[in-house]
Amino acid sequence: MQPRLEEESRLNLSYRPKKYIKKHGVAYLFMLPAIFFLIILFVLPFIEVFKMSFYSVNLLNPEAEAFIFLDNFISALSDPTFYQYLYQGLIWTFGSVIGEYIVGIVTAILLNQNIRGKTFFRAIIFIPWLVPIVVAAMTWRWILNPDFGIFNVMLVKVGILDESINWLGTAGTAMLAVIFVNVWRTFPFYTVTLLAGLQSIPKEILEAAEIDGAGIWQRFWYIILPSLKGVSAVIIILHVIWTFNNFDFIWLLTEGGPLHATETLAITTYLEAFEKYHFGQASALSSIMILILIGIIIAYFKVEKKQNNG
Amino acid sequence: MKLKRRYSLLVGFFLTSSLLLSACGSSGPSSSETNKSGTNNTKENSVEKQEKVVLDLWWSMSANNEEHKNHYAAIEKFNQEHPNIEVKPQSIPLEQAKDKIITSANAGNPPDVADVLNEWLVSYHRMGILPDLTEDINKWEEKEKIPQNIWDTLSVDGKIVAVPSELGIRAFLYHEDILKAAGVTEPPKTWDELLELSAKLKEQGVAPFGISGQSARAPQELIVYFWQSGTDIAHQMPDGKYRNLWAENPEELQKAVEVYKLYKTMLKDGVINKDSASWGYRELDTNFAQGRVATTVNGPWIKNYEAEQPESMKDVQIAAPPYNTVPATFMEVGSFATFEGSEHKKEAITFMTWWLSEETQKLVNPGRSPNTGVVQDGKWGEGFNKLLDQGRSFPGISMGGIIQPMIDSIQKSLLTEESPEEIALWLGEQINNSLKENGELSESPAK
Repeated sequence: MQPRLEEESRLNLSYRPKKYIKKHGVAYLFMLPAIFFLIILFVLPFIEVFKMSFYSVNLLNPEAEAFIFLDNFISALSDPTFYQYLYQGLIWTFGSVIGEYIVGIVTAILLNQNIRGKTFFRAIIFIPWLVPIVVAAMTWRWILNPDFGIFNVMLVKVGILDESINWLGTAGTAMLAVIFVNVWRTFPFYTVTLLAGLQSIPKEILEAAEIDGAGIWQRFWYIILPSLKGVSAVIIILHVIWTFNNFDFIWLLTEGGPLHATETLAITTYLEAFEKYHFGQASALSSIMILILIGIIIAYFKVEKKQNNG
Repeated sequence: MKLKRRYSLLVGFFLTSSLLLSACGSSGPSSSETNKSGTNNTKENSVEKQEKVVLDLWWSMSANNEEHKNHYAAIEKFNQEHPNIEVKPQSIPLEQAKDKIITSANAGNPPDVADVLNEWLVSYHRMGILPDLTEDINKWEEKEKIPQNIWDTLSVDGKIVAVPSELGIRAFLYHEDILKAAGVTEPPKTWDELLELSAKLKEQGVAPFGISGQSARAPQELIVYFWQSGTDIAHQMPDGKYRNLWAENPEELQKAVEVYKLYKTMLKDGVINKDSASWGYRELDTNFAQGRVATTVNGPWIKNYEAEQPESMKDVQIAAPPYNTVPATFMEVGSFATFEGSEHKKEAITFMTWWLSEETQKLVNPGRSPNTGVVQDGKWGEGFNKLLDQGRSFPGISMGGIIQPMIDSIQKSLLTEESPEEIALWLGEQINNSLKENGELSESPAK
């Protein structure tokens, strides 16, 4: 009996690749264009950036180009401003993502109620996400303007402030202001995604919990939030990556100022590349940013796995 | 079933092949091979069609902007007058143009002509993307109508690398009625007079003077204060390279210190808005045009606010900027450049010189022309043009690594307790670091 099984198994193995290609070949063929563009638009530039980070590349001094191995990395990591901009980048990223998630889940729960005109509200809440970043940033610059911005006027009239605050022009408030504007623009994405997640929770479970005496907070904490775990993980990870790498919103609002108070590593990288033309140094900074992001994501999955096992 | 599978395989193969071919294959006809209707030239086409050159022009003029209608009309006129050249303009804001030009030129695919600022030229020249236009410009019959200081501004290492297209000389602008209400009839000539005037205006409850603390405008204002104080951010040394002298020459340092003292005094005495550190050019221009700020140093584009703010703009007058020891002002020269890698340099030069000619400038830039043959009467034309002799631009060094420290130095003087001397020494060090990184730092000893 045993030799026969072995023979069958051997035959199966020799048969498998052909069968596999026959079964999945078309799928791979259709994936080819996507793989091709992924290689052209992502893999090759990534390899080029990684390679350039080991070279001294200054467009203004092409003769000085040379292989310097880790010098760009050492130079970046030994600069005290690197840690300041990294810290500010993390504040910007997690401040934005936490704010967006809180506003997103609150609005999603509200829009999941049986209220009049909920379709209308669901449609208009998406507007900030649809506004082009440049338009949103320019508009908010005027809204937050200390001289004639409506935000200050309102706060002064209501009596919350005695006098206008230069939200974007004061080192102590600039980061808060850019995070606030970013939350305003991005929370609709969370709302819509979480709303889809909420609608997939069976009503019977919530009703049963209510009958068993669970209050609003208990239903939220023990039923709704765990049900949204999967979708929350996806949007949080995506937004951590997008926000940490985000350049345009801060640049349009403050250009990283005042006095570098809102400068993040993404802005430093841009300044190194397109103001100073130090492409080698900028590539090293980009590579470090990628490593930091990979580190954050691995840490997140490890914590999640630990929690699930626990 | 088999047929279906074969069919899907075939479709998949064609889809993949066509995408691969479209991405890898020739990127289509070059601009010179494409005629106006967009069809490819073939041997059967006429000679005229084969010779037609399409010039890609990147500029900051927007087709939707009423003020730029004349510029688009001029392009049409050029195309009609030059049947073998077609200029195709593409609107790109100046803020984005600098990076886009660098990326495209280094990738070997630059535009044929682009709108550039004079402070970018040295960097572009060091990158090797600007061709030498000296010979062609010397042959141009209207060259002498352009003042020499403008050609100097557009020259690097003695080579002309761009052609001026418009002029943005800075002048002292003031609301005459506001000054009269404060009992002032003459604009200030010196920094001291500006501070005296400001004290009177403040008594009237008016914001006296407007400055920029960020954006491209801020370093342009700062460098003028250095010139007016008798110093510069970098001096050309006997070896032809540059160096900031503030750390090694106490006299030069003192002149720079005077500038930061001025910023601090203006803030302390309420001459400028307390939020000036975050004012970019938009805030400054808008506040002045609306009459919320009584005086400022600004360019001729401020005239464009007359349509939006006719009431508050009607009393605006123009004078020379107040100075400390040396009269000076900033001369922003908007210019056109062509690039190494463009296949149509000859046609590009034809277009650029046509644009700068007296006839075209009368149409597109009657009040802001670098061509002395074009003089607009009235305050907007004469007021700025008479300052041409005082006009200066950034020194012949790569400004990339210096612009941001200049902005930082203004913000340090307005937002921190650092002393003017500390700020000047810090900026001097940043400038020399940048010069060193770019191989432009002189090792000649300071005199």
